[in-house]
Amino acid sequence: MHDTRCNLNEIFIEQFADGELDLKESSEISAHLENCPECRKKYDEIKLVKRVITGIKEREVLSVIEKEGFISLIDRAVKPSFATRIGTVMKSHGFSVGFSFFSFASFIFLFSYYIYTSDKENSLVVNEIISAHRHSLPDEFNGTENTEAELQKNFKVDKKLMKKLAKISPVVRGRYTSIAANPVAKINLEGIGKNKGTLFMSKKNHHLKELFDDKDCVVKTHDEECKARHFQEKENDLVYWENQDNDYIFITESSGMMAEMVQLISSDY
Amino acid sequence: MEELLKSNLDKIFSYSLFITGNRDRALDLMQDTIVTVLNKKHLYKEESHFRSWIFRVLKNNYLNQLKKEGVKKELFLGDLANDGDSSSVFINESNGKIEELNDPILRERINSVIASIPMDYREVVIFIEMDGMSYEEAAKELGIPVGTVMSRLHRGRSYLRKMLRKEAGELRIITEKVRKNA
Repeated sequence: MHDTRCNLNEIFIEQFADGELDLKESSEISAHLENCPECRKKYDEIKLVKRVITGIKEREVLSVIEKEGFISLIDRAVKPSFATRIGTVMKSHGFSVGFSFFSFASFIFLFSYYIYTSDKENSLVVNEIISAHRHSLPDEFNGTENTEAELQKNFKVDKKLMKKLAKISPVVRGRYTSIAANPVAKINLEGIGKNKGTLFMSKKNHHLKELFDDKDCVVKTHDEECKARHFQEKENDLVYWENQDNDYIFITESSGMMAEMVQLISSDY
Repeated sequence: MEELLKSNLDKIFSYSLFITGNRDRALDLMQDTIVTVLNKKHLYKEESHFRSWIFRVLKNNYLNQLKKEGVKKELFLGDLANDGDSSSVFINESNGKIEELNDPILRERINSVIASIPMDYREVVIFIEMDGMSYEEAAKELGIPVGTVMSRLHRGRSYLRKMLRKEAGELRIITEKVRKNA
């Protein structure tokens, strides 16, 4: 009867599987594995674990949008603060004769900069969202340059609401990370495209869809991954959209609808 | 540092995923870590090993997150039972490829299994299995002797094999269910 117990240290099998042995040792272990079913089984399992990890690594990758989001996050994080910039300028000028004049000028500059950035920040975020989703936004958003211009003009980011949502819903938080921008925002869609309000949903969210069945909705199909619905409430518009990369965007002027969506999403997850 | 981060985003994500075991959490952790790294980039010395440094920051941020959430215990070095009987192969294979891994539910389960390996073993497993480092490279990155790398790798793998076998039946059922429902 074949004795299945083997005294070979398992670490040698691992070293063999990892290619850590020299030629002579490798051929010894290889020959042993041919004749020892017990060690062969261990070796097969080690190789299988390797393939599982490699398989996971190959499949679990950042989406293009997520990657763009992180790059944008890095770029924004390294942008020097306004105070740093002022400090640098002051240093280069010193506190010399023109100090008083400089103080006055910097006050004017500070004020102008504040006005500029408060507006600029918003349009940066809008640009970011639009560019991140450029290739996958539904037709209404993606049709013409006009649409983009309109979006940029009308987009208002509600940061408080976004933070609140991010706290409530891990999904929103995840998406927030994924585009490193603002998946939750307020927008006035009036005048954009033919349909005023559109509720876009993926197949995955049928249960959410059903909740809007009694509403004045128009079913829209964009592609295999994305289904859309139209919804309006008191002339205000709601958009909830999930694309194939599982990014979420809430766009609404209606706080009531937003609350409803928050509840739906957070209860779902 | 910024360029280093940008060129290593995929790697950081993989680390993050294997630390948290969940895609959403991994993205969160990755974001926190990038912010931390950029704030503390003065602490990074060029000669130090970027991968292990980033891994350490990820790990610390993750442990802080757990602490905040009130999770008391993250497994570290401990007494792990040996894998015992190895009588079953846990996932079907065909042509050397594990087709089941296309199933996101299965991947999530496996990710959480990987994330349950005690942290000290996990980092060695990740560096060697995922990054393809040699034992010596991993030892240098982590600042530990090669012998320690080998023993931690062995224990980490044994734990992983054992846990995956334990999950095996259930995982296969889930995969089948998903297929039937599809």
